[in-house]
Amino acid sequence: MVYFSKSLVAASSKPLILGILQEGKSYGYNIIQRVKEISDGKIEWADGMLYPVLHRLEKERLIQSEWILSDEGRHRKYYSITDEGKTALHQEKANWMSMHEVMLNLWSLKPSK
Amino acid sequence: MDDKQKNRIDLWRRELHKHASFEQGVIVELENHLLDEIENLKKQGYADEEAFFKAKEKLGDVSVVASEERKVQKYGDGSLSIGLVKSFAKAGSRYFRKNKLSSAINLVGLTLAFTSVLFISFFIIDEISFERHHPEYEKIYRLSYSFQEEDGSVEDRAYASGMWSELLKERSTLVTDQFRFLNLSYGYVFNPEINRAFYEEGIYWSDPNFFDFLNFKMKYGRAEDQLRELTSIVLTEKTAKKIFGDENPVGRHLQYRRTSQVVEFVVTGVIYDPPSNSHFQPDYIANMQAIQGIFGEGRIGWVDRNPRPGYVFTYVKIDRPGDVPKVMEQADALFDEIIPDLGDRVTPLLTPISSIHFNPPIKWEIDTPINPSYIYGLGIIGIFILVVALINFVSLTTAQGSKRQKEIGLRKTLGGTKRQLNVQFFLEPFFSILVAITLSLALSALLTPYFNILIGKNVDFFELVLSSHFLVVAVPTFLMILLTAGLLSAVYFTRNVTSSLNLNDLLKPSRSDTRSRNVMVTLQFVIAIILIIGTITIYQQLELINNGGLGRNRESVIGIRTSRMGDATQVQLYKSRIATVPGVVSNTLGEHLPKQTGFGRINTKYLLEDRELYWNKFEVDSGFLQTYELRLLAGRNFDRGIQQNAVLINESALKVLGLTAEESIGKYLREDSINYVFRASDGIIIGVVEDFVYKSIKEKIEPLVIVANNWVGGVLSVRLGTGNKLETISSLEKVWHEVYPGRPFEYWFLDKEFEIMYSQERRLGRLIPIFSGLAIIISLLGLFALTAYISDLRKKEIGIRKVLGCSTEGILRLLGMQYLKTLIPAILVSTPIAYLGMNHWLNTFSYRVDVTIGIILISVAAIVLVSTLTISFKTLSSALGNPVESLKYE
Repeated sequence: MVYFSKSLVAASSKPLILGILQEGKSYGYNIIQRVKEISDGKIEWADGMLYPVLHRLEKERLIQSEWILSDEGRHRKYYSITDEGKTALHQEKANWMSMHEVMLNLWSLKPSK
Repeated sequence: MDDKQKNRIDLWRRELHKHASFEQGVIVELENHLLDEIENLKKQGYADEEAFFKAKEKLGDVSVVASEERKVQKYGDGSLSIGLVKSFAKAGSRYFRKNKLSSAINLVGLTLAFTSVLFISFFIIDEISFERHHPEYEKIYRLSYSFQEEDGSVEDRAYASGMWSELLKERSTLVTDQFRFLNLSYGYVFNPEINRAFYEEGIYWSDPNFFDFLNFKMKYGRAEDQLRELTSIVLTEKTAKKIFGDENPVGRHLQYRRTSQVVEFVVTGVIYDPPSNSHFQPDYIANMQAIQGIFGEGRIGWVDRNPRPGYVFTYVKIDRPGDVPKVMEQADALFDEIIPDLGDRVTPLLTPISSIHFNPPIKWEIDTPINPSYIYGLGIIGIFILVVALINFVSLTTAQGSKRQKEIGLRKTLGGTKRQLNVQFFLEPFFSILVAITLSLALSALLTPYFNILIGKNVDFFELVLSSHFLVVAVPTFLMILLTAGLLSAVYFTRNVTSSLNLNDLLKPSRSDTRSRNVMVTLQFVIAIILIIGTITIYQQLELINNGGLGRNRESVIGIRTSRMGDATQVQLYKSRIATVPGVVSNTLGEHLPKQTGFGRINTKYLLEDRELYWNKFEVDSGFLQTYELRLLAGRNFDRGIQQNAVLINESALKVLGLTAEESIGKYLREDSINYVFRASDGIIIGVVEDFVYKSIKEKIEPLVIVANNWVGGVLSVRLGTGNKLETISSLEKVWHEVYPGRPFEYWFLDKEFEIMYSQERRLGRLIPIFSGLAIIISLLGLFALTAYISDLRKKEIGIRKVLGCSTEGILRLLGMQYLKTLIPAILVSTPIAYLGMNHWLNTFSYRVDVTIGIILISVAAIVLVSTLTISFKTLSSALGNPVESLKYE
């Protein structure tokens, strides 16, 4: 069973959320669902903790929000990625990929004598 | 969704509200999340209750979420969203609308104060920036001299010999350049195209390098092309307009005439009117050598080839200020060499051109220097205005704090942090001050032209506001005001209002609060009383100066210029012809009066028995006493029309002699003239005239000898009767043209002459009352608003007192006591300050009014009366009001 540590989940939250919002605007519950979907349930958040993260990203101007009246007659806060967010996501991708490479180098290559 | 489920959710939501960091929006988001989850779970077959608890569990511990939210809120400075600022603005404007009176008073007071301070600073900047627009002004010095009289007294003079600066430049390596000009009028300007004459005093006969030294903006022509030819003449915009109208006059012809001599000129350039902050105020500038046309070729040696003190204004350029004493030594040595007989008595003076304006006036000065005490005085008034306005602002803003406790409470309930409230109560005063600054800038831009007329300057608003002088002072001042007012109110609010939500604390002003407010009101009273005493005293002193002048009923005396034309018989003919003109009371031919620089001789050596006396001399004719309405203390007037060996002396001369008027009559006063250009005129003392001001009142009345001569004279003074003066003057003009065909008739009213002499005092006489009046009004406005506020605050108390049987008088006494508590200390503090301060200032005058008990009493009475009126307007209404009215809202 794959288990992600708390700090690893926290570190990945930013690229995850930005990546999901890259697909189109969304609201909190939906974002959580999408995380579960793409991680195959491997990433398990305390759902409430998503919101402070969203608010922080908004404050950092990486995402922006708007209130939209949903079909059920509820006001939902939709988040979408900003241009700054896209740049940040790009950077995150690069970081994660190179971290990935570092790990690959460490583990897939034979130790050199 | 059934009711039970709704209840569960309501309870859950209420839990969320307990966390201050959850804003309304966050709660909605979380609730949505919960509902979505519940729905999802129900689809999976869970029952309502089970779904709720499972969803709630999945959301996690809300207090952890809440603490995360708090971290986010503190993160960065983004806690002020645009929405929040909008809400502040809304609350602010709502509050403004609700409290129109005090808010409007605040804004009006601030705007008035800033506008006044702007104008005061315009005036001061203009005064202190004299000559600073010339390139290298700090290297230019005026070379003149001080002269030691035979009696040992020393007199500084603004003139010099035309030779000195040239010789210095030739011999000294420290003097790198020089220029000179003469400002003497020999004749008049004539426009041959329209056959019209113009009298001008403002002709500068200058070296051609005038424009190399001095920066005058050219309207037409290039500065470097001017005065290169003998025929070149430069006009100011104003003069060009007067002579040629609105067209460009470059290339047009002008003549300068004096009796039969004519000098031909061609206009080569026009300068914009000289700025008011310059002592160079020419109307025309011509080449100095062109005077040859009047005195004959090669005959201007007396201008530039005469080593003796002359009538030339000379300026030298000294590159390093440290060299000035050295140049003084060199000039002193030069005087010893070229004027050996005067070398000991003539000492050089080198004055930086930028400080000429502040030095006490010296003889033959062409500037109208300002007494620096006026600048300090205006500056003090400006500071007073600022202080008063800021006191108003802070006391009103903080006084109203309690009224806003509901809003503060609401903001706190809805999760507003203390920091946000601080920002709000810093931003509000910040914005009102910003609005006031903007309004006052706009207002002063609009009013600048009127201000210019009022003070006789030509200040350019935009040029001044953008000048470094202004910005260096204004920007920090405004920032300081913004910060102090903003910080004071913000600090007040955090300390007293935002930290407490206890209603009782807020409704009743705390003791320290009342005390600090009382101190502020007292300070305002102090300032107001000082200003009233100061203004009355200054006004009286300036009136004394303005009215001090030759003779009585000066407004009926006109002067007609007769010098420089015709001969003695023509003047006598004119005198006798106008004697019969209806409306002419009397006339006298004499020197230009009031006695100003360059007119007639000053300090003549007289001998009386064995005494040497250095007295002033007046040359007039027998109509003098009558024309100026002067009284004889003893003796008799001159006989009419006869050349006489008789003189009159004034009271001051009598005092020097130490005789009674009767004893002095019959003594022989002999003039010991060393200068043969001026005819000696001595004689028997036949009468003693009362003292009268014949120079500026700023100088002491000195002993005077009046002699009667039938000379060609400079000015014919004519006293007009009570009839239509203009009609009389036009008759005088008609006769003039018969006696002097083709010569311009130039006349002026004598009081106008004095006006010019006291122009500085007149301007200040207008400015100081206006600004101190404004300061007083601003402080009264503040007092009114504060009283209104306090009686509002005490409405309930007054109501209760009345219900419990307190009489209206009792209420008034109660409210009045509070006011007396601030007024009495204010009177005790302010009156001695004002008394000492004004006496100090008055001591700079030789003729001065006194700060009397009367003035102090009037001032105190005025402030008591006006402030009582201001205060009782509001207190009476609350004392007389029906207590039900004041209690029913509580």
